[in-house]
Amino acid sequence: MAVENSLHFERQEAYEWPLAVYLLLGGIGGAFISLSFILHYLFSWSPVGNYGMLIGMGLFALAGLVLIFLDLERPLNAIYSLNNIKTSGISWDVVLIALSFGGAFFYVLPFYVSIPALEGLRLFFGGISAIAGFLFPVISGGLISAPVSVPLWHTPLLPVLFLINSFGVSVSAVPAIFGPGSEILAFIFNLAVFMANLVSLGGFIAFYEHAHNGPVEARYGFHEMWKKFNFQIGFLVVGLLFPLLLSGYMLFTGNFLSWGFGALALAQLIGGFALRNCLLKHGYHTYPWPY
Amino acid sequence: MARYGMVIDLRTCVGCQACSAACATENQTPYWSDKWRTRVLDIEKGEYPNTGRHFVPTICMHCEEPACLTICPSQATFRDENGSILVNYDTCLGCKACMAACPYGARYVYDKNDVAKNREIHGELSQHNVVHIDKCTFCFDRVERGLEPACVATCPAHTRIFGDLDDPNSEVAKLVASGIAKPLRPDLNTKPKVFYIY
Ligand code: SF4
Ligand code: SF4
Repeated sequence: MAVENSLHFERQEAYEWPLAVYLLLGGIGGAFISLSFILHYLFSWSPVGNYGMLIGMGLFALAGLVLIFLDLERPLNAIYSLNNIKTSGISWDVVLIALSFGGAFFYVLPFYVSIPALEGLRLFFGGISAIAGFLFPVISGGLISAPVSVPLWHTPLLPVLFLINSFGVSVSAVPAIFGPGSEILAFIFNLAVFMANLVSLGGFIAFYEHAHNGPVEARYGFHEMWKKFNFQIGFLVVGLLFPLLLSGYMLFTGNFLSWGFGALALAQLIGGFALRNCLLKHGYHTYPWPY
Repeated sequence: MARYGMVIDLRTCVGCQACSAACATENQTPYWSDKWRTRVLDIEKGEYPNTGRHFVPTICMHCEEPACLTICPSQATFRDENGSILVNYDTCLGCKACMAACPYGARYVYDKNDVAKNREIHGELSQHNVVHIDKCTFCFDRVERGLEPACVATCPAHTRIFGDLDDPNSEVAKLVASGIAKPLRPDLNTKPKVFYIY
């Protein structure tokens, strides 16, 4: 552990930007799969059911590759991570990706080949895939926040912020890629993005409270993060305030700008990376020594 | 089976770092990258004229409820029959989750540069031939041969005391039972088996 400023604040060095990318891509991948399944199932929106699922699978695959080849010191040993689902949350994370990816695969397959035996099981595979996809950002955020060793992260607000951001990006990206479908759907998408960002703002304020009322290492990490351009512009302005204002404008004027959903998706994507990366970068270890 | 633990008496530590050197020699730890299984913090505290200098030897606490063990996805981190927490070099993914989860900063990555450098130094006798997470083992191989861990055997000030916490006649068990030796940050709930007198 590197010593920074004083012995009291030792920055964690285990998690760096590749993990932030993994959390972001995996979270959005899971959200994309869940959303695509719901839109296909409830609204019979076939292009989303097909290509939306494929996009989610692609994001999961990318997340897995980033984790294995950029984060793990021993990529080939990744296979052992399936070894410990009884106790390790990380193993659950891997299993969730596998379930969501596999379920989506069998859900999408009938779009391309007719397999009568699969038809009856399609809802089952889609459901499994959607649930596992939904759980991914929750569990992965929970894994970061569970240990007591980094007080800034030690809060259930982390998985909540990751989940909302992942869904915010996906709910904006679907109408941007596939078109809003109808006026009423455009309104629903817009309302969902607005609400997600409102809840994100609330979640962030609660996180601020957690950091300020928490141990000195949490306060220190938060203050260091607060001063950074990436955090101020990347997360607060681009990732939070801009989507809140733009979705609010579109919602209250009924003027769904042609570029609006694309801009919302991109802004929340940038904000999502900035949030995850800044949080990881400013995790300071708890101080265990008696002096 | 024993339940090994250690007491570290901060009142007697002179900060000579002999323990760190002995450990590095015994266990081929990458001192060239400033990575240690045990290091001695040199802490200055207070404002002139009320200042103090404290030496704090640090080490894996071989916790009873180790945060590193429950997070490990590959069971590379495991508990041996004597309650010590060890790492299986062959199955470790190098995911570093244990490093982030350990509240005592006891772990580091024995990376590919370290492996190469160690091979250069020790050749066939290299103990670290693959990239892995490394940490204190309570020198289990020495203990099996009836020896004390290298840091304990080397300490000139009897700062480090090693033994079986389940043996009521051992020095460690007596110090812990007396209440003079205390775990650090018991509020973190990892139940360390290394205790400090300070
Ligand atoms: S001190 Fe850290 S590495 Fe050692 S057993 Fe406890 S949690 Fe694990
Ligand atoms: S780095 Fe190795 S020992 Fe640590 S949690 Fe990952 S697999 Fe387990």
